[in-house]
Amino acid sequence: MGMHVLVVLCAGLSAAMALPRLEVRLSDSAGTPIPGARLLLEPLHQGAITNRDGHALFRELPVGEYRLTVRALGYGPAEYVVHLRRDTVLQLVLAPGAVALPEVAVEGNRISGEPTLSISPPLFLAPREVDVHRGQTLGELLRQLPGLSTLSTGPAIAKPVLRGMTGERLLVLTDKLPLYGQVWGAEHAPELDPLVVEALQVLRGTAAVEYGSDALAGAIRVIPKPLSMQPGLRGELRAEGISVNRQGALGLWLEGARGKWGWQMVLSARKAADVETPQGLLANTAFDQYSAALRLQHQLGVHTLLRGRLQLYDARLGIFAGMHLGNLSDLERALRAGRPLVQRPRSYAIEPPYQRVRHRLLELTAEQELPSERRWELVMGWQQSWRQEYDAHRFWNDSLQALFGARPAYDVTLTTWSLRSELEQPGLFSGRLHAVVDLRRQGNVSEGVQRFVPNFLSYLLGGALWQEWFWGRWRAVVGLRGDGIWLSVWRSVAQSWRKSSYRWSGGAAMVSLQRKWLRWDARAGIATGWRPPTVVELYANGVHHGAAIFEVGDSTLPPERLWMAELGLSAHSSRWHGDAAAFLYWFPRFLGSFPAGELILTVRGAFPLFRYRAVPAVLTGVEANLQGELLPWLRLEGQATVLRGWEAEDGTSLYGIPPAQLRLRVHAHGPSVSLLHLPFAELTMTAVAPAATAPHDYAPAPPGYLLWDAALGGTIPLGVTELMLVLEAQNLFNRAYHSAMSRLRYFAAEPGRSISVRLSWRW
Amino acid sequence: MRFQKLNAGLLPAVVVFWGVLAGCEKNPAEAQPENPQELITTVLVRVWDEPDSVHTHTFAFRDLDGPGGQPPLVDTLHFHGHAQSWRLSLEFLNEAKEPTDTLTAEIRREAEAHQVFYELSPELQSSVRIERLDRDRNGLPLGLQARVTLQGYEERHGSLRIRLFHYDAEPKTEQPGGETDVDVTFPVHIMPD
Repeated sequence: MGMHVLVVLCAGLSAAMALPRLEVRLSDSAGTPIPGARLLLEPLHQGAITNRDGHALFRELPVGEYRLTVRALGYGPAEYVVHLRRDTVLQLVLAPGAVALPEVAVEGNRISGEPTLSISPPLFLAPREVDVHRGQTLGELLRQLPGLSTLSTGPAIAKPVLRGMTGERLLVLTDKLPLYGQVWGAEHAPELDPLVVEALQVLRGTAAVEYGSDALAGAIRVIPKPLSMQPGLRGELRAEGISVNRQGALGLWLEGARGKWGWQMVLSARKAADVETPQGLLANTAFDQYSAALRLQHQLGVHTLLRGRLQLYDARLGIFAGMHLGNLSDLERALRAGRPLVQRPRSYAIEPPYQRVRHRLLELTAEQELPSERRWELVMGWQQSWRQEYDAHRFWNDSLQALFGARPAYDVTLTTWSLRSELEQPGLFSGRLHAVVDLRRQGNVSEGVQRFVPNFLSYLLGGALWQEWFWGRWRAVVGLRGDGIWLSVWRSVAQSWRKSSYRWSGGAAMVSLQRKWLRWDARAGIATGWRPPTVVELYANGVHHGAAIFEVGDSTLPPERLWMAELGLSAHSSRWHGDAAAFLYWFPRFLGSFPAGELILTVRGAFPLFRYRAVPAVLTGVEANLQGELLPWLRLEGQATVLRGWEAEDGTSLYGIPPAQLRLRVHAHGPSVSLLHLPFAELTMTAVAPAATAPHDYAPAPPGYLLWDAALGGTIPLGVTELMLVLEAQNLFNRAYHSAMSRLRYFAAEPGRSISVRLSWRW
Repeated sequence: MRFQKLNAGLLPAVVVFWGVLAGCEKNPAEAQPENPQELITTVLVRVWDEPDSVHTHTFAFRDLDGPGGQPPLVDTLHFHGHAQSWRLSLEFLNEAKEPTDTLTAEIRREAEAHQVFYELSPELQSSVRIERLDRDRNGLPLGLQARVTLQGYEERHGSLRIRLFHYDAEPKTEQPGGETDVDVTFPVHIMPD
């Protein structure tokens, strides 16, 4: 069965003075939209997926000639040549039985795009890139994008870091629902398997107007496959093998529809042994991870769509045995040793210390098209994050050990109810206006031996308005938001149950202005936002064993306040695209854990005391991104990030700021050779500068390093199905290096050479 | 009409959604039963003069509210110069519990996984010697019992650091290793006879 493509050209007025956009509308011969098709636009190397209407939008494309690859399940891949002159709608009608048109000449049409609230355009990791670089964690996948890095604790735990900020400042959304877990800990990663990720979008700068105080640094959207209403059963099997920790992963995605109901199911499982570094194995870094998701969609009438999602995640993540510390002397001993003190033969066994993390999520969404070009969306969510952390320490007494030894040191359950209503309608004068109301209730219960996070209950009520305007070559975006938060905290103090209450309110705002020329565009914007202190920042009181420090919260901390400004410049041609952003974040009050300059005496020895404080701080940096086609088959990509953060009072470096990084990639892709379609090979060099040594750190920051990665792969059509094969080698020369952003940096080198094989079979 | 349709579809779903899930949550306002705190609050050092065992003294490092809160109370170890040889015995207690939990017997029973180290400050190293007396079944020192030998009669001040190591993940050797369970430092006063 081949593929028949009918192209309908929509000619119209071109009123746009800005760079043209290309909208692709994909349907079958019966006019049914085809959602979830993967589009790739070369040589810009921009990717997109069609939404539930079968539409996908490429924004701000330079005038020129492009190759568009369309891959829709059941139709096989196809490539077109697109001559883009102005805003264009390209309607592709897919039907089985004929051949693709080799070349398409298109005329223009005005397209209304979704307003983006960030000053610089959101970063996007397209499905094809996700397929090639899908690693062990979501964080590892995000490292492909400029400005993003990870704070890692071994191979299984990687927290995304955007412009040096993470945790309570960086929101992770799955589809449209924020993922609420215990984000406060450096060793608490998002509860998601990368096998279920289809594409990623990163809102940088700040997303405080759109999503409130949880998104002060920005937001990461994990985009799933859109649900289809096309009848029939479709599926994809993904398999992965990773050599460095003898890891195997399997993912299954199934989709079907009947009448007005559509469904989708995603299952994934992953199991890994201890990871290997050039200096030996890291004991107890084995992990296993399982996840499942079921999504249902119902078309109610012509204008309403209802969706439901149930998502489950269950993982046991081993923590490197060599980093479990009783006190400062243990840490000093580990530093002196220069190699992991705890050794064991490679094993899949997960022993204490380890984390058991379970996440349950239920989402109901309603989308409705209203008269007068209005659109309304309601997202209701319930989620429960259950985290248990088991200590390596044994009870002194055998009978106590028998009774309570299996109990976790930390046992925290966070339950979040959320409701978000978003109305989109024609704006004042022009553009689109968005109005959002957010409601949230969050409760936390601690049951472990140690109560690092006390019980709490919080309520949030927020509202936001934003609009985008166009005047000729100018584009302006203005957004405003207000939030009120009520928090009650219950703690056990001197054998009594004590309650404390807080009430905070605050606003966020942003203004952004953009001017476009034919091959350039420049943008500038300012934004402000705030966040209330977290319960940990208010009430932490205990030893942080991984870092051998004693942390004490401050129950009188004020909210954090941020002002930020960003300047951006982009240059385009049909073969090159460059983008740079310079940003400055000014925190009149930055909440963090800072050394108090004294020791606290315990029966386990003396620990450096860290107190949570609000200090003025500055964070500034530059991100640059360049990609271009050197030859029709050869693409060069470059990314550079430089970041600096310091306390404004005494100029000392902020802890945990990623070092400067340069990444260069050469990507070669050839024509289809007999059975192998879209073959490619790429070589990546990553150079990381030495990190700034933070004051009172136990060891100097690790030196810089240079890493090489390589990948090759292609697609093999098997009838109407296709098999994608990718072979990737990371740390090609098995270099022993320490990463400043790894919590293992005192104790062990990062993983050595790793060969990954990825297969995905779509039908 | 469209809204009516939407409501008809949504309402039952919302009611089920709310009702079922509300039951899955514990109330943060209710205290959960505390698990036993595995805490060492107190290190007792008993010393007596070896020749006649007449002068027995008990000194303590005591931190009843655990890490943080009130700072620990630490006694000064006094040795009279009239005796050149003293015996020393350690006890580890959890006095936050009622009745007090004694942990010393447990450590003795698990001698192959524990070891106590004594470390004198530089001012005392030339005039005091500490020798561990008890051993585990493998012949490695345990250190709950020790002999303190004074060399000279002059007054001295210094400190004694006592560390208890728990070898769980790695095998016990004569070197400090595993995890530190106790790390306390006592001021020491050697009184002239």
